Amino acid sequence: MTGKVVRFNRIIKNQYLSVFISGLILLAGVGQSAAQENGFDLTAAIAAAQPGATIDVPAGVYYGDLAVDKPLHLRGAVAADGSRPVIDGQGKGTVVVITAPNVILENFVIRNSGNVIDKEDGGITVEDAEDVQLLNNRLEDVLYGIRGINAHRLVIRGNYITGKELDIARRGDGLRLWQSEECIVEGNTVERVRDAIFWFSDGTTVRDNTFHDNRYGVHMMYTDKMLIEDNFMVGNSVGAYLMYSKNVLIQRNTFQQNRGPSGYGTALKDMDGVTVQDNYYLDNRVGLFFDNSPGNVDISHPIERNVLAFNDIGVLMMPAVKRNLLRQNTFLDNLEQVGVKGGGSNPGDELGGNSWDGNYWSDYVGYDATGEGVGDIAYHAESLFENIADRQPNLRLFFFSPAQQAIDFAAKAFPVIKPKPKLTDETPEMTPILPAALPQSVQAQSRIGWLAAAMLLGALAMFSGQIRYWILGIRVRPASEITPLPDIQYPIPVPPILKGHHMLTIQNLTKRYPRPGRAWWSDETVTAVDDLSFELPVGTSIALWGVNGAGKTTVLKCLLGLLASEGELHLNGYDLRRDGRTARRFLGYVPQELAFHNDLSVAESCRFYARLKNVGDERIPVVLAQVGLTGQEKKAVGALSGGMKQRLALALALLADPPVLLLDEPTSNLDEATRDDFIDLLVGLRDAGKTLLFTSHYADEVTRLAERVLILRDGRLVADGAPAAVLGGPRTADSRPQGVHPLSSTESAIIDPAPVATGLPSAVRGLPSVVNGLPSPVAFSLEEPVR
Amino acid sequence: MQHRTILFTLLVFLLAACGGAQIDPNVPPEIVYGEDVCTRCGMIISDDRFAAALVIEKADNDYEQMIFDDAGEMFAFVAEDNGQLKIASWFVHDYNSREWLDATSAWFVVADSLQTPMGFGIAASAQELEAQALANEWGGDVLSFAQAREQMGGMKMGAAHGHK
Repeated sequence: MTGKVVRFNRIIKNQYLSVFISGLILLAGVGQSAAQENGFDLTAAIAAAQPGATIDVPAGVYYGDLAVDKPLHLRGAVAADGSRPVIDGQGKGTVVVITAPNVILENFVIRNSGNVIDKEDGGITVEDAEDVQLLNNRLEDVLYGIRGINAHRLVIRGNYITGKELDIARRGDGLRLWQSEECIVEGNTVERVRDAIFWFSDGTTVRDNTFHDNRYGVHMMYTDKMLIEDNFMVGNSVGAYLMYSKNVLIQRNTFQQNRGPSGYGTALKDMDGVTVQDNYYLDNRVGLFFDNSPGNVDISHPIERNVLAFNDIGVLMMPAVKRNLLRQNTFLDNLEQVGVKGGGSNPGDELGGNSWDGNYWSDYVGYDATGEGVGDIAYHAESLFENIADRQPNLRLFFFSPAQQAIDFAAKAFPVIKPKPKLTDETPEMTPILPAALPQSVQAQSRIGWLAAAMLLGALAMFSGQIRYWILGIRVRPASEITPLPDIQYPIPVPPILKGHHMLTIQNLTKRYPRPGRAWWSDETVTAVDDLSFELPVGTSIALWGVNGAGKTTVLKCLLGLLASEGELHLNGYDLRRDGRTARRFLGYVPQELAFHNDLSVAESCRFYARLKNVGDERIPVVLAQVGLTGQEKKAVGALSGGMKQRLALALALLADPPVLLLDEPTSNLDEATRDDFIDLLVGLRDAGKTLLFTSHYADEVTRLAERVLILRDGRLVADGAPAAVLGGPRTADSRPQGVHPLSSTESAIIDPAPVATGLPSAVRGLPSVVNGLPSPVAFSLEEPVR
Repeated sequence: MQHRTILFTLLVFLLAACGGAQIDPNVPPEIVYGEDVCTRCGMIISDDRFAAALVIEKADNDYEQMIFDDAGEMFAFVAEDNGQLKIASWFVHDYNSREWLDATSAWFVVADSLQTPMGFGIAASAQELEAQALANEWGGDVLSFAQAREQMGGMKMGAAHGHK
């Protein structure tokens, strides 16, 4: 008897009847159709149960294709170790078939379906049944995952679905909704399957799911009024391909590393009434692709506040695509920011039918003399090589090669072949625009990788106090509130530090901006950095020193890849242009202007950035200890002092333990005492072997921290030597190192604000805070372009 | 240096301009499943049962292959072209054997319940009896090439499944 225990733990509608039925089953013995190791006969229990009953299914393995043809709640018992009852299809057919409405299937492992694609063998099929709920199940080794056919209001929530180990072309779909309206697909992870398909299923919501390593993360057709939000689509051939539908909202999703054939983050084909907002498109072949969308001449598509970063092409449009309103998007370091598929007959005309307004463009070379945050001259995308590559995509291989440079140089030199701009943004933003809330999936579980980290830190670097998008009342959900999903591991190998190389080698770095006030036809430029060359050996510290506008920050931005430049940049032997993504893994960056989510605690901020950088949480206490923030973990970032925020910024830069730190005016916002402490901190890091490159206005800071100082004047290197020789001591021609130029009066004023008034000996010059107890003045010229 | 750059650039364009091998209009294309994309919709072609192809004569003895993930896509593509294409060959796959067929001699099954890659609900068979068996199984109709071309070419995609 004990070997054949039949247990109905809970009967909703008729407890006594179920007990009676249990007894019958016990007496009759267990049938063979659903072999059960523990004596519980699931098939018989279903047959015996009254409609509406709840059946608690004990742990064990159940076999056979299970048919649920009446409204029941089948609830698997979850053991303390998380294990659940298993329904095993034994490699034949579909494991569970539901043909009745109001069924709830919860907490099961469903595995080992048949393998016949013609029959669409799979884990669960819901057919001609409404209001079914599939909750917290794990489907594995199934050809198809969950199929809903004429299954309106189907809820698929919290399931994990993974397919059979087949070539991607032979896999079945992880999810397939067919003529099933108003369904909710929420909080699932679907990986190593073919597609998640939503066809003829109006009013469906797809929210907070992870689609990974599939062919199409989401393939939607003929499904109107669909909501796609907060999903994470990574490593698929295509993130989401949406076709032939109307009224779709796509928001707060992350589309990353979708790099298969076509490789779109999101593709819109023959769509009308689409809004795409607050999404991240990172490292895809193409971020956003438009094909005849919108198709209706009376419809426009708002495409707003999306971040398109590190894609081969940020936005790609078929010729003649019109009426997309691209506003407030961030185009950051895409190989080609915007392209026309096939080139089109005239790219300028092709893209001109869309609106480009107030976007951030990382390759913008204008300026903002008025300080309003908007560039004073328009952004033009007008690369002849890009136009050619649009027609011959294979030529993208030669981006950043001499071939590209030669072609674009020729276009500039001979206006007759200069292409019409592909697009013009009259009001380009000067700083990246981050979406209102960071994607929750990113915060929750995704190891978005160094790439996004670099992007976001880069954004922070450019983020000069522009927090308006974070204070619109949308609170960022802390990571602690979000249910963790299975970890996704990305094989991102960290390259070794190469022996025998200088950590950083800069040769002939030159950066030019358009001259302010130039005529529109003029190519006049202002040179921000002029033929700068230097090397930074491993474990040394170099300061870039000069007045505002000297080009210091521009040098750092070129190294970070935020600005295009001329010359050769090598980091640890890697070409920063050709292998920029690899090379920048060696960099940690502390920007001058800090921007944090003030709602998050110190620990939450660290966890967030640790995930961005693909770093384990075990690094967090280490870096907090390094910067002296141990004990502050629970404190809200908004409540930190300026000095503590600076320490937190340094901690974040140290998370991945990069060998090189770039620091842009690291103490400019600190008072003197705090500054001294912070410099001590940096000295400790230098002594521990970090390689430092920093900019500074403070001579004492340079003297304490740098082994070498490079003085920049109007972008040119005018002095290079030990701080004491260059900045301090009697500045005579004989005592200067070779190549050292005399300092200008402005530079001298910075070193020594009032040498005559103080009357102090020259030996203490260069230590202004000692001289007068105040930080050094900051020279500033309104005539200089913003750099 | 500049000379080398110019030579390099020229070499790039020469290589890019090089053409491929001559196409035999009687030979169906080799589709790389999971990688090649449909000429009409741009979707990745993964399911050989429904894949189709055209060979177009662009000029005398100059042919181009076009591949489709769904035979319905092929018919729709041709219908949209309004007779401008000079079609040398039509190819579809036999649903059961998965071998290429000359589409003009194939039998087609059209069924609402058949979920093909782009929702046209059409499959092909070399044998009429096999096509009839499939039609019986799926609840569909058996059509000749001409009938299928007419029906698919005139059908708005998705209409077979009741999409408005």
